[in-house]
Amino acid sequence: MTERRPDPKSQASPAVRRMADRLDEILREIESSATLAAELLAKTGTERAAAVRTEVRFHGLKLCELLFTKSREAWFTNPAKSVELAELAVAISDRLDVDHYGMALVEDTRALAWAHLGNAYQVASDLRQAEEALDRAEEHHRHSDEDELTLAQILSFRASLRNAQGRFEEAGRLLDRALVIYREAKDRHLEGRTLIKKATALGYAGRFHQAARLVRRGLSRIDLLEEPRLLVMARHNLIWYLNESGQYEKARKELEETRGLYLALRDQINLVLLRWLEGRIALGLGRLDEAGPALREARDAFIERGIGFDAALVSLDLAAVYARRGEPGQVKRLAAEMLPIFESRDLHAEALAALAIFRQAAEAEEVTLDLLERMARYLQRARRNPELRFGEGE
Amino acid sequence: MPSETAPTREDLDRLAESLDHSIAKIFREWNIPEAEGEEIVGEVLVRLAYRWSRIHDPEGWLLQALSREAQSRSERSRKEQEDD
Repeated sequence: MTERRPDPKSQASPAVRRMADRLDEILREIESSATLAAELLAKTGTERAAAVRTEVRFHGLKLCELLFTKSREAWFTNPAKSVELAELAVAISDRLDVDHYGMALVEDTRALAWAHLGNAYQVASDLRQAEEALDRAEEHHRHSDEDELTLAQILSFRASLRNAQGRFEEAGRLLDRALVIYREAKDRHLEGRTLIKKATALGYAGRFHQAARLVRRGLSRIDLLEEPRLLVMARHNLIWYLNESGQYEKARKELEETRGLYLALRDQINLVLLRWLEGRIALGLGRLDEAGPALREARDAFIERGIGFDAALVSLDLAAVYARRGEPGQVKRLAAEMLPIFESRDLHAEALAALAIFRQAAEAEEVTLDLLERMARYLQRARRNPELRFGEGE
Repeated sequence: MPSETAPTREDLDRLAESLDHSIAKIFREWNIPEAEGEEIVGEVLVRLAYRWSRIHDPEGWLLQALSREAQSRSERSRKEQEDD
């Protein structure tokens, strides 16, 4: 006797019919989540925590998602706020109704909330908590239906952490795994985004030729309308890598083609980054008279905004201009100006110690281009790794 | 409500229609009874609806999710029979 084969229409179509009410419910949940988020965010921190603890209307999956999306938006503008929003998302994810959403979906949402908290910690330079949060994300992912896109997100955040820790090879391998998932999911934009991110890992590792190639591949895949900011960032990185690999003229031409995009974005920080890049390219081309004013302008803008690491890095470029001009007095003056400014900014103790070494070298008129390059490489790596010392793992 | 945030009933109807044959094949392969198959499809569609905004290939995602769920249930049921 043959086994009775299920009629496909008796499985998929009735299930869709029964979904009608549930779909309306999901749409209502999406619509109300923005209002609930606004209400929650208007409260003080203590009131917010109490509301999430006690009021069931705040225990929604879409509200949780909206909060970790907002946390994402705050990464570069307000890292502390980003952590706060992700913590709130985690608190809500802990209270999601398993009977209503099902265990797989709840665990998946918990995985994503923890993953976003992990990345928010990483951006806020708390690498230990970032690692722990990402471990929690993986644990929840294992208890969910193991959605591949969630795994790719966790891998991508873990790669950012490895970049911050200076473990660039490992970051590259994690991103390769994420890339396979995005390709299978036919998500060209996220594939492009991940290629650009992998290029960043290669750039940090000093592999500028490969990084430039990868950015170009990433650029051919991203959706400009979805993330115009990513386009400018990727083009900026590409020009940076070309310049770092000694292709100064090519970098200059690419910059001219990209200038309109920086201006169209109307983002002040991007305009400062543009000025910095112009200064570095001019420095590479030996046009020291152009490099000096551009770098000074960029440095002052970073100081004004309290962005200590970038201000310190531009100052080192400026020191290179003076050193190449054979002006040790200017280097000394710059070094003397730097330390008091950076002591009141976001530089950690190890970075300040490195700058003190630079000041001593300047005082003794012993600053070389090699020292400046080593110092710049160190500051790039130490940006999110407060425990890294100058001279360590060079 | 735009269909980027959540699927419409039409989106799901279209999916069910176009994947009927493949869904039936998955359940046959893992020996899933009809009623249980319907339950699985329902559960997986809810997950799809909640994740709709981040899924670029709903067909591929749905088949992969159904396949994984069918495999897991089939293995669980076999293990329960062995334990009995």
